[in-house]
Amino acid sequence: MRIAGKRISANRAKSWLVLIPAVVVAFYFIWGFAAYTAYLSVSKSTFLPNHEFIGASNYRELFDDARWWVAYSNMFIFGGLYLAGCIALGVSLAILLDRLTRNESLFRTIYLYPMSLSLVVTGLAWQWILNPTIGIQKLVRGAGFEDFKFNWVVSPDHAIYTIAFAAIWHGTGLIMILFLAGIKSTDPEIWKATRIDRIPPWRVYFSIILPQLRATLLTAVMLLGFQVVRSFDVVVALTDGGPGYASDVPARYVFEYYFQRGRIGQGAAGAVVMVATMIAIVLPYLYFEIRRKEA
Amino acid sequence: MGWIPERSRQTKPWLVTAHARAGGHCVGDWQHPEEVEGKNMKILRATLAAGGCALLSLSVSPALGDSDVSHNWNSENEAEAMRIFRAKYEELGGEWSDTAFPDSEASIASVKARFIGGNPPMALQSALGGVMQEFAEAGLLQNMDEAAAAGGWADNISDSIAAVGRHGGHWVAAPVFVDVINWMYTNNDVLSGADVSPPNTWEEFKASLPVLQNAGAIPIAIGGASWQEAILFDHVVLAVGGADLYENLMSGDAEAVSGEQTRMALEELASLRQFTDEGKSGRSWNDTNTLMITGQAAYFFMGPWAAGGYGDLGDEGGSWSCRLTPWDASLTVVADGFQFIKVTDESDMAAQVLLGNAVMDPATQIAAARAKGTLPVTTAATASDFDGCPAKAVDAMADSTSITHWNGRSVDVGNAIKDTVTALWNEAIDVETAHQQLIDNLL
Repeated sequence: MRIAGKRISANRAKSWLVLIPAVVVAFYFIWGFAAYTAYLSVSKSTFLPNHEFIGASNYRELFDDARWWVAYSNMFIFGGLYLAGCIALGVSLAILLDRLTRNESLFRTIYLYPMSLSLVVTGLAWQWILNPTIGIQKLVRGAGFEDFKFNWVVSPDHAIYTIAFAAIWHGTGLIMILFLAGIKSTDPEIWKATRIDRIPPWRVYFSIILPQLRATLLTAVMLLGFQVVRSFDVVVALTDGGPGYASDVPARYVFEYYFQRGRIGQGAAGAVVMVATMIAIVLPYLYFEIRRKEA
Repeated sequence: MGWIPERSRQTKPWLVTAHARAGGHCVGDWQHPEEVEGKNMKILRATLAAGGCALLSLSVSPALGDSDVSHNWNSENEAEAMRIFRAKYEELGGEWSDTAFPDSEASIASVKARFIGGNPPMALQSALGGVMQEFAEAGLLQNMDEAAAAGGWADNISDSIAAVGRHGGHWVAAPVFVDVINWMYTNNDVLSGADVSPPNTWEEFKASLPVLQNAGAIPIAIGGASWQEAILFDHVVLAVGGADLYENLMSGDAEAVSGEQTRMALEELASLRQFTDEGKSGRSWNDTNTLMITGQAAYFFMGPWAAGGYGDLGDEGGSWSCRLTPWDASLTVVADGFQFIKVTDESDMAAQVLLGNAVMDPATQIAAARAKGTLPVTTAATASDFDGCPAKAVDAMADSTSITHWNGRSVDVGNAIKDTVTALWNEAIDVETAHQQLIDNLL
């Protein structure tokens, strides 16, 4: 037994040894840099990092900037629409595909296809499609409807919705696949039982099957949530934050202040606020879900 | 860094790295071995060649580093100008290498990162203004006083231009070009089609806008970036208050910034919005230029680089014209050139001296300016060296006021102008708020 015990601990030691470099690298490059960014946000850094401590004045400048608030509230508009849109459409498509008896894989491929495009390509393609002078508006007007108007992408009040639209188009397929897998993995006996009871299928989905997929929902919300916070490429490609800065988002704002304007301190403050917001939203949800699972 | 940066954002969004080293033959030697050789033989040859190459570079230590210039001259005419500088540099005995970036923001970010990482390039091409000040104050720039004195850099340029290349009295940059920014390009066919004669005053210009619009043209071609909008604002400021207002506004004169003229300029700018097209948002400057080339738009306000695209329309004065702001005899100018980054290696420093001497050579500057379509800083240039738009700029310099464009001033000034103008232009704020924002940010 002693020998066996020793062998196990040696194995453990070996596996730790193998893991340590990865752990160190991950800690250094993720948490180390995050901590450094947090420090930069209270430092005098402008053009280059400067480690002199200056307190909260970067935050004061950030909160005084009308542009930051546009970007910050856009994150919620975009995030809310993106999550709701992807999940609602993804679940609906998953149910429809589940009902489909033929050609399921064909439709699955079609709906998953946008996922294979990068968000930059997605953004550029939709930029052209939505552009009123070359896209849909021109097409419909050319077909004889002279008064047709669809200029959301160039309208300061609506541009952020077009970004949400393009991102939903891109992200729905993934959510559909997640939920389709979840639905397929539920007990087939449920269907036999409900058929005997003559319960309509939509009722089965919404009252019996979907409530079992809380873990899938958690995964979907997490995946999409990260996408929201780091939404950068689709914004840059579709509107580049325009018109003016009407469709700016925090990630793009931070990038601009960090790398283009030489205001590293203020950019870092924006990054910290961005991450703090994400933690404030995600942590209670995670906590609630995990507690629920344990109970 | 305003406009130069985004010139080719849409056309070349990816970083282009071009390393052209005169000594780069080592690798090439074994890339095309004779086909009769067996595979093993090829590998052997390759190994020998690579090894020999390494030995060679160990034994013959070069007295000169390669030039290693970061720049954003990537359009055809700009690249041609760079080739002329390169030829001169090689003629003086240097080894050339450069890295091209899609825009000046990217090249500046890269230079900063490489400097912090301890491996800076030797020189950075950019507009010489706010960024150079920041670089110099952060200790990124090399003192080139000795080289400048030995090479006689100040001999062939005016004192005001020489001042642009210095920071705190020391040479840190080599100014090579003077870009005159305030050009108005017109498509003459569109104008004559609408029976509009080229405007000479602001009133005539404004009167022509609804006429052109009714004739089915886009009166003013403009793109979506804030630096493009700020260039349009330049012309409006000159219309409202001339060179005095421009200079006082940009230099943060309290009376001018909070004055009635500034408010009027913002109001005039906002009134132009209705004479643009819906597609302007997010459009690059070169796509916007195409609107004029294809006869969809009448006026286009842009820097000297736009003229490079009008070849299809024939010579200047025919289907298209370039004019400096017609309603005011002022030139908004900004110097373009090479900043020398602080390097410590002797051979790199020698290469910097060589680069400085190459780009400050009057004949080379004139040739490069002709290729790029702009003006050299050298006083050796005469109007007869140029034709088309640059010749007009040379003529105008004699009897008009030159003012430093916002891109040649501190980064804060440029950002204040661009932020306010883009917010107003895109209806995020009204004229009163915009005026207040200018007061807050410029004073």
